[in-house]
Amino acid sequence: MNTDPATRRSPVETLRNEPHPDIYDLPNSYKVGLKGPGLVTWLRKENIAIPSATYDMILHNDNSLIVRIAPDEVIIESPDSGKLVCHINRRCDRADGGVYRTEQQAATFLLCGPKTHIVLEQTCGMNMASAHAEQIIYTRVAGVSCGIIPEENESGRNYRIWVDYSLAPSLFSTLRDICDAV
Amino acid sequence: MKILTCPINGPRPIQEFEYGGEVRIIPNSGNCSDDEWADYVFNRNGEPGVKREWWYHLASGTWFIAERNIRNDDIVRTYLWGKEGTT
Amino acid sequence: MIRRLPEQAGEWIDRTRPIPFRFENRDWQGYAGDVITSALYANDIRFVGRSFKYHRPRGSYSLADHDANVLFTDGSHTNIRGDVTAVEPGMNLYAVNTFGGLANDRMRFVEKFSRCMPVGFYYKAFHRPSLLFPFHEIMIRKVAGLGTANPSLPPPSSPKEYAWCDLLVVGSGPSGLGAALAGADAGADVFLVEEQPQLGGSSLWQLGRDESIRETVHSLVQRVEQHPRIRVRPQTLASGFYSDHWVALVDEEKLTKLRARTVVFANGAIEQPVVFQNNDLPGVMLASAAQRLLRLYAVKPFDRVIVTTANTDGYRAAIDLKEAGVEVPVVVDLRPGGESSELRQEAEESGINIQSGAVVWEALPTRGKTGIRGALVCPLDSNGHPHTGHGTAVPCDGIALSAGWMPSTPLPAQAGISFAYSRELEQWMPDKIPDRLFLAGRVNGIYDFEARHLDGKRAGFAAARTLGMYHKSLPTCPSPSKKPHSHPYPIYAHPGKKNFVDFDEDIHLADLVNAHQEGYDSSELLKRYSTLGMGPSQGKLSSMNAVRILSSLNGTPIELTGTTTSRPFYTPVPIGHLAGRRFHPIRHTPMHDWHEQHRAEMTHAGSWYRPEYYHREDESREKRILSEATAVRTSSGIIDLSTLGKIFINGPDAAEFLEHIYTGRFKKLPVGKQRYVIALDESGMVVEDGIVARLTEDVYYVTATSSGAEHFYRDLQRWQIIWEMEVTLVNATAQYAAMNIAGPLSRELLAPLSTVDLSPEAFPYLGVRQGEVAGVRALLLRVGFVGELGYEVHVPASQGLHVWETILAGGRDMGLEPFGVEAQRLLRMEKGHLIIGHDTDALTHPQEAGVMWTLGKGKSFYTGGKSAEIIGRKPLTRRLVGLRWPTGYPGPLPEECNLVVDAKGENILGRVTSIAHHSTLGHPIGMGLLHPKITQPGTIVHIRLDNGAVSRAEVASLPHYDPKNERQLG
Repeated sequence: MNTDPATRRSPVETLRNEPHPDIYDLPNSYKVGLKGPGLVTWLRKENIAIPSATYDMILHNDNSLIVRIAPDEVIIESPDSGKLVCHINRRCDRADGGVYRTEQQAATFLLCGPKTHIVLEQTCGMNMASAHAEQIIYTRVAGVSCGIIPEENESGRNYRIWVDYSLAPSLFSTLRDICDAV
Repeated sequence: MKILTCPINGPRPIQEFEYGGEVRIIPNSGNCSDDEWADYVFNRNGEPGVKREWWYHLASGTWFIAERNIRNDDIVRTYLWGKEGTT
Repeated sequence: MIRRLPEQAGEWIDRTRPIPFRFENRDWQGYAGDVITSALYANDIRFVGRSFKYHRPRGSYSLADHDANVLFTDGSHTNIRGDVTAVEPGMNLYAVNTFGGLANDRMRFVEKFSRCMPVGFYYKAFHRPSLLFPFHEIMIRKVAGLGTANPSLPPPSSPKEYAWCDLLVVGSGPSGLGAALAGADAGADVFLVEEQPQLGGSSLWQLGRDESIRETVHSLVQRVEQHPRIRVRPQTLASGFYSDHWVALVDEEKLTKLRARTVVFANGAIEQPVVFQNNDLPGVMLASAAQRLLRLYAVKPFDRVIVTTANTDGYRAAIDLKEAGVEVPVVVDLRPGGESSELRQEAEESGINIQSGAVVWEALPTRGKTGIRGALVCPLDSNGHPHTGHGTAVPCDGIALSAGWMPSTPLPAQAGISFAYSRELEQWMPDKIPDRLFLAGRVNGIYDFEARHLDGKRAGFAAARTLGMYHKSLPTCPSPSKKPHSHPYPIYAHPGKKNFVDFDEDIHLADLVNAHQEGYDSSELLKRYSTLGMGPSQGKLSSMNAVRILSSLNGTPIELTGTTTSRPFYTPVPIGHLAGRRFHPIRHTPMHDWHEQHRAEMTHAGSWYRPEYYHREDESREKRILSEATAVRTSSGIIDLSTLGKIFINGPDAAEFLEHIYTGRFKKLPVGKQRYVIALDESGMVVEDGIVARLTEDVYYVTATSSGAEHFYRDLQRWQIIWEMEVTLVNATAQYAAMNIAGPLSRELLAPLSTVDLSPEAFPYLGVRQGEVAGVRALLLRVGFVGELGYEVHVPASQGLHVWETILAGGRDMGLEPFGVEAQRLLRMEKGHLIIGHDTDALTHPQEAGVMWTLGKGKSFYTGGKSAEIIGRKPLTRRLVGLRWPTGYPGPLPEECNLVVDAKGENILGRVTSIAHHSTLGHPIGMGLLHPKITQPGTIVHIRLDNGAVSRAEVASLPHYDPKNERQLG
């Protein structure tokens, strides 16, 4: 249900013909959202952990990200298998008690490599290098509103960027061009 | 560039926000006079001093209130609607 | 390079790397490390530009870009600043503002008319008769101005960059270096910006034989450059200071937007000119400029120079010049008592004659005024006026001026620091300093090298303390200099009227006196009337002298005269730097690539890109639009509606909330049904329309106009907060792709792809169903916007293209064609549907728009309801109606917004809001907002066209097409 890869298209499909070393499109990350005053109760009933504070996140046991974007709202992103997302999609149709499934079609980009901070410094008014990792930050990059999750790993910091499907091509090409220019 | 502190997202450059006008008392349209209503709809008060204003954080979709002195553009404090006492 | 001196310690040039370049059509050579000005001077070119207004010959005055005399163009870049731009191989430079070259400038005659061009000349001369002003404007624009822009250059894409630091130190002289090191040692993350390519500031050239200064600075610079917490930005100018410590740093390549938690201003002082006759000629320059040439570029500025001074610094300059082999016949000291320090003796010992209480009253020009041949030195009387009868002409080729300094106050002033005039030091001193800002060095009246360094350290530690990084007590503040380094009034009137106060704008003393006589007696007024300080150097060399002159003319002290307000930018910034990379995010629908591949003519719709129509062969735009519309009427068409706003309004209060927002009622709207809705603003004007569909008991799905949706959603969020309703709002605009399949064959072609029963009984007009289309979960809405049987299909965005292509493939045999917004506009107009903001304006209320039927009866409240009720009691002044012209109408047709007038053409009775020259009905149609007295169907109205002709149209009842709605109900 909605996770059939044959019918899905990335918003930047025609822009990412050549893999780029600094910016990746992750077309196989599936998202779903839940919103409403009954959110916490419902997730507890479903045995799904919820981050305690707004903008915190939890890594689910199938590697899905559960990100709390408001007291009454989460976005869940599942890699490839889409297991948790599929589970929510199945269960939430029957959900009641003030929780509503929200369609989440944002694109996910990964900004990584040595140019990352130069690119962000040229596009984002927030000091990303000093931002907390593993927390989502809603800000503007190159004039586009998006959510950014800094992720720490051995080679430094990556930034996971969630951006509105309709603005994804614009942001992707801007970031890619800057990666090429710097 | 000015910094505005969103109660949810913290201090951000002003271009992340949109101004939403002064917080004004809405007369009860059921029993107010035409003149009272017209005054509410059409008149704005530009008197220098501290104003309560609506501001919107674009990226997260957050409305909040900023108390701003429009004489010198000083932001006195910001808070969510109805959470005035908690900050 | 005949003026180049032998190699010396500390010089910036690299003699192993000669740089060939061209200037005014001749080949020259400089060295790597030279700026353009120094390379020219090394070749004995001291006449490098012409002035803005009178085209007078000019040389570099400051060698620090504090004047605008040295501006070049290379054909691509304009106003290349010679003092701070490195000379590069192959540069081909010309002076700006000449007609026919620097030497033979055809405009140099203008100076002869200078007496006819008094202050305020442009204001006075060209506004009467006003008819001639456009002509004058062309002439003035041609003659005035500096460089010429080249409009055919490809736009540069210079990056803009954000940066953050704990402490910004502006300037890298001894105080700046001290501040940076103190701050960084305390743990602060420091940004150090310096305009010049190397750190050290004035201590690199203002030496006066004291080589130990250079060594001390050298070791400080090394420490700074190696410090892990200091980021050094040479060749960068802190040029604007904005709210919350946002500092604009400008360098050759880009603008950096630096957010600094604390700032130390250690940006020194600007040496000031002395005003006397011909003080602008090449050969007259600031002593600091001569010292820069000597020490940084190893260029001998003059052969024989008279130093005019009023402070110790002039003696240092004289000693250095003498030592470099320049003849210094005399130091003219404006002070009656002259210099008291040991430097005076030192100067005298080296053979320099000192004449105290005297002034250069006039520089004597060479023929052609491209240089000077001597100076008229006059003693000063007890009032400080020159004894003009007792002058002595002293032969020389240069006059070096060292009569005073103006602290570099503009940037600190932009930051909110106020300055007060100090009588003791004859300079501005900081008065009120806001938190987290600090000043160090000469701006505090501290001139001694060691003291400046200490003052810098103090400021750096103080900044670190504010940041909570330094807890010890602060070093004591060094005390300011005991005696002034600036002369209180270095201005000497001369009847020749070539005693310039502002070199950028060619303003001389008499201009200011005249302006004052005309009543412009405050700094701000005088500036605007005379244009003093409004040139490229922004008054760096003129504002201090102007304040002194004004204060003297007013007879009030300087502290009461005050100066002008400093605003960004402090120095000219290329427009390309401000434009940056030009981010203009554009929204694409999920089917965007398909549209482009199928030759759609794309158009901007708010922040979106949408197909206007699809090209085919080389058919005209009009033909394509009509043909797409005809396909919808006869078989079927499909249009991408993904740009529609899509909002979920869920929860127990959803219906109540909707009834507050819209004019209609929703509590009794059955599940599976939708309704056309109108929203008003608080003044009762129509601002939004769309549909509200009830999906389940407490889930409503709303569509909103493409361009208004984001704003509308924000309004909904705010009303939810204010009304405190239990509603969950979800902005789903970009989460869904949407398309409308419309036309008589739409049911037939969609049925095989859909799991929803599309039969008229199961899925009637205005029904809403959920199911699958092309294997994808979809929401289907039966709509009639274009007046045919039609289905809107909404699917998740990522699956939009799949569904679009599947439907098109399935419908191809039945003649299904994509159509664009233009065909949709035509079809809906035939159907009499309005478009908000197109057929309505900001003052259109529901009665005028003809949508009173959407108003729910007996509602106690909805947004704008009270206003609508008040307006309803007043007479109607206009109404939206249809317009039509007969089939085959040969006459001219109006454009949208053409006015409807009465038969005599005297009164305006309305305007055309929509027009289609061709329609599927075979005749032109339109819509318009007309006065009620002419809205009766059949009335003939007169429309005035752009060219003044009149088109006669007939008012038609709406809709034009299928008035019984049989086709969309089918």
